[in-house]
Amino acid sequence: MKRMIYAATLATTALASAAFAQDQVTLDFWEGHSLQEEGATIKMIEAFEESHPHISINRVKTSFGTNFEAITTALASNTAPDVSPIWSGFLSQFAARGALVDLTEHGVTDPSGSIYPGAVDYVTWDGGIYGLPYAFDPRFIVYNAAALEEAGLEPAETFDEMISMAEQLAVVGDDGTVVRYGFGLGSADALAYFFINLLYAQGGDVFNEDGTQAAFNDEAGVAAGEIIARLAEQPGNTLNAQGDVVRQGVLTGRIAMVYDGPWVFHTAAQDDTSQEFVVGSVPTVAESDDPLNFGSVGAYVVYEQSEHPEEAAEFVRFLASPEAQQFRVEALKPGVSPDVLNQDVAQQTFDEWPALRTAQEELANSRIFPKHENWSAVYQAIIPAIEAIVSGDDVQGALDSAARQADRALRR
Amino acid sequence: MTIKQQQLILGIVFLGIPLLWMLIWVVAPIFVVFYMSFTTYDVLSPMRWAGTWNYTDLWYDDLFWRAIGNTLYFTAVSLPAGVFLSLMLAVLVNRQLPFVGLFRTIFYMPVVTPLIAAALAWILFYETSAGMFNYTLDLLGISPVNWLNDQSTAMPAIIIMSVWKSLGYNMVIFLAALQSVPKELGEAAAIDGAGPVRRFWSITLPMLTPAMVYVVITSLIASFQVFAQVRVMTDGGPNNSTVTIVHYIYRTAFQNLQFGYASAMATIMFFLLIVASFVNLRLVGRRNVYD
Amino acid sequence: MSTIDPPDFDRRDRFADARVPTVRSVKLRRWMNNALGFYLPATIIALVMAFPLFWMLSLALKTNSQIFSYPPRLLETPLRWEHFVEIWSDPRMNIGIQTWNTLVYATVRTFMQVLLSAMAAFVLARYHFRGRNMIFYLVLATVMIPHEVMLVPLYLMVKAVPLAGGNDIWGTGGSGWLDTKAGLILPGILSGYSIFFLRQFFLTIPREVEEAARIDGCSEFAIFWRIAIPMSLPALTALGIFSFQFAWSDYTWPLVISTSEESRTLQLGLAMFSSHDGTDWAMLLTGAAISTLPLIALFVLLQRFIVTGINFGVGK
Repeated sequence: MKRMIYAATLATTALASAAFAQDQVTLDFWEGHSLQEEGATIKMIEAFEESHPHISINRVKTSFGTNFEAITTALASNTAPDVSPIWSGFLSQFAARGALVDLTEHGVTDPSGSIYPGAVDYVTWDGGIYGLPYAFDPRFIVYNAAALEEAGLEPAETFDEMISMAEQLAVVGDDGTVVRYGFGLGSADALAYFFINLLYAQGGDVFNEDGTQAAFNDEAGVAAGEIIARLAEQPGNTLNAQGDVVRQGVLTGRIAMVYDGPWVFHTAAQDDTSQEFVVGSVPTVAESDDPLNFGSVGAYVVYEQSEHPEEAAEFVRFLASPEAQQFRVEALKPGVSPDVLNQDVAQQTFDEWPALRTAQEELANSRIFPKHENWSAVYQAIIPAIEAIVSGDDVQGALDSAARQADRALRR
Repeated sequence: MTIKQQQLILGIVFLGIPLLWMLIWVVAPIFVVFYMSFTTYDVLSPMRWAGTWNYTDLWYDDLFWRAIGNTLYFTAVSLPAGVFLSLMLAVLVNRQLPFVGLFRTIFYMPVVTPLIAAALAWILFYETSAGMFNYTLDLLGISPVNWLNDQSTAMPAIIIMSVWKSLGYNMVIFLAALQSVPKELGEAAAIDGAGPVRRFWSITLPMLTPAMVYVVITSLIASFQVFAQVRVMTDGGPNNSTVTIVHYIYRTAFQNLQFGYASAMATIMFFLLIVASFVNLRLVGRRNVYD
Repeated sequence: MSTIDPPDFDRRDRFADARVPTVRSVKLRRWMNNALGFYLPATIIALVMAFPLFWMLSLALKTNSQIFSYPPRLLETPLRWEHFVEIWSDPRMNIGIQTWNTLVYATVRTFMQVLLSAMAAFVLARYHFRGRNMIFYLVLATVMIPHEVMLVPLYLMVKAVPLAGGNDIWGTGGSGWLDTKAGLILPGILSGYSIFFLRQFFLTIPREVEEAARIDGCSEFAIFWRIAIPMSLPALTALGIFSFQFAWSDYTWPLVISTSEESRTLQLGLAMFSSHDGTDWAMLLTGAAISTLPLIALFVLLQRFIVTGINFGVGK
């Protein structure tokens, strides 16, 4: 259908290349990447078109924000692109409703060996592979190096240590004014991901085993909530409306530590006045526990409405490969494929940014949020509960009421 | 042709074309929304008839009631504050003095700035650790406030920003209405010894009724539909203290893909607004200026 | 600025002249009245109202890290005026084409909106017939449903426009008006607000004017075209400015309807600076400042018309 829109483009391309290939295919690729990712994506596409001369990519810049209004409405009228990135609960939502192509039908094999397990988990749905990851962002604690050094501290290993460190690093005046904040708690998404990370670390899970009920209000959930409550109680920790502000706060020394992801590298690289920072793993409950962090995945998917699923599958497979992923590392994002460490471009970048190598290695311990076709509704119940805990509400009570909300959404 | 015939033809053509266009592009989609509210529809699979299920479900949806409450809170504060302040501004700039045009332009400028950008700038004012407001408090030796992250201050913070953003628009409408108040009326009253406040209250204000009706109704609708600044500044948080009806509708439709459920909310909101506008027409416009 | 009004000795002042004899003390008093009654409060309010705008401009002139530095500074040197140059070649936004698209979108939509609303409002205000108020209330009711829920139905309709974009007569087989300027502009050219607005104005034209014209042998169309329209030119200008500004700032409809660069608008371009990875604040605010300028210019140029334009219910 959308071919009509690009009929002219197609015709020109076909004329130009008729002599070389009979079956030239153009794929519509909608993306809304940041400048940082866009640079990498352009290089990836160039590399792909070079090695696959019969496929050309029509890259359309679409503003996604955090949602998919453009794609959702396009799907409703059968005018969706061939390929686009997707993230959070949308993959399961779309896959469960049959809007995405199962890539195993088009020659994609189980990527388990070549991609981190957490990221593979994201694209697996009901026995099929409904996309291939292109981005995998682990979480870690970012510390302002000067603040750590001044207090003579090393990155925290347990949550208890983390909480007392936050208190030590904060500089609060007698009148309540703050010179330096200890821990930057952020808000909404940042808080909810932090909670899920803590929940996993406590051995808990969001859903019960068969995914029919919320389970985050059990003992593990309460223990996770208590950690957040304790941090929120300390006068020197801050809540912020914008992730950018917290991240920049650590880079300017206004905030001592924050739970954040690889975005900090790009922010620091853009600015030559930013202070040194240290990256430490997310702490564990006990020192002997295995490290674990929350990771968020972005994947490229092929839409069921595509007329060239074969070529589209080939395209997304290439984007997840180490040779394509090295361009993401160059743009200071970890690669989804462990083998990216062997690529030349990536190695140079890692040498320049040793902390990025740490982030890359953290991915082996990254776990994603649960896949559930109603995830977004459940997630919307979790956020206010954590915000309530932060403002001093009873932990058990807040989680119970969120669980009730979530169960209600699950029944719908 | 007689006048009657001409009026008939003109009436049919002049009213017919716009109404037909509205029927297609405005009324029809509204009926689709009404219809969708009786179905479950996730865009990706066909609509399924669900009867009144969405509506009964809404009745038990605490968050929907919360959204209505928050919307009423927003409206109850921003509407009177906005109308009053814009009227005062209009009175202030309703004079012929050098540079008055410059002041009018400055007061109108927030209206034309893109909302997303304006909201981002306000976020920076409100930010806890690096914001302008908390910096000012810090200079005064007062401990910081979580403006946008505290359940009691988040909604007022959004209201202040919204009032700032829309003052100029209503000011312009009031200004125009003020300009058409005959000066002789005021002078006569002044001779009779009426003070400026009484003159405004008993002479100017009644003359403003038609403009007041327009301003109050359109502000009412706009504040009932408040969405963009909420989405950018708090996204409904903290703890749902700023979730408004349209914000919840948007989230239900485009994040949870429950277009049927969202349509049911929109339908309820539609009837709420009809009632509110009707009451308002009766209250504000009781000097009936419509015929 | 061309908006400075000439000094004017209004009637109240002449009234005052009659009571106070000396010219000098009158001038002094008037000056004091103006300074305390107008310039002082107006300046204070203007400073408060304009501060966020100044702040936005100052953010546009900072680097991203300066934006977040603490304590916040009003201005950082050097001022990054180069942002205002760089943005024209920024690959994310394509501001040149988008400005043109937005201009076309807002202009066409405004003209059609003013014309069609004037037609409907004229009949609704000036002619008496059964169901007139009913029609008016129904028109008003259409603005009470939030636009967000209408996106999907509207989108499906735009796609199904017959004989457009490869569609057959039944509206199937092609893409209709999707991703075209027609699809961007036409569905939104009428709204209940604009008819409401103009109807309020047409109600105020004195009936005598209309009757006199009829006696002079004017046709009904001439009464609309030669009397109602010129008399309400200020109101039409005001509506024009308001609709232009709404079209200029519209976000959700362009978002879903345009996919290619040929129909994308400025607001979509601005949104590109905000992505999953965070926001490029400086560039976003630079773009915002640029996209605001035409609207401010329009207001400065036409504010005289607005000010004498909306004239509700008076003179009836």
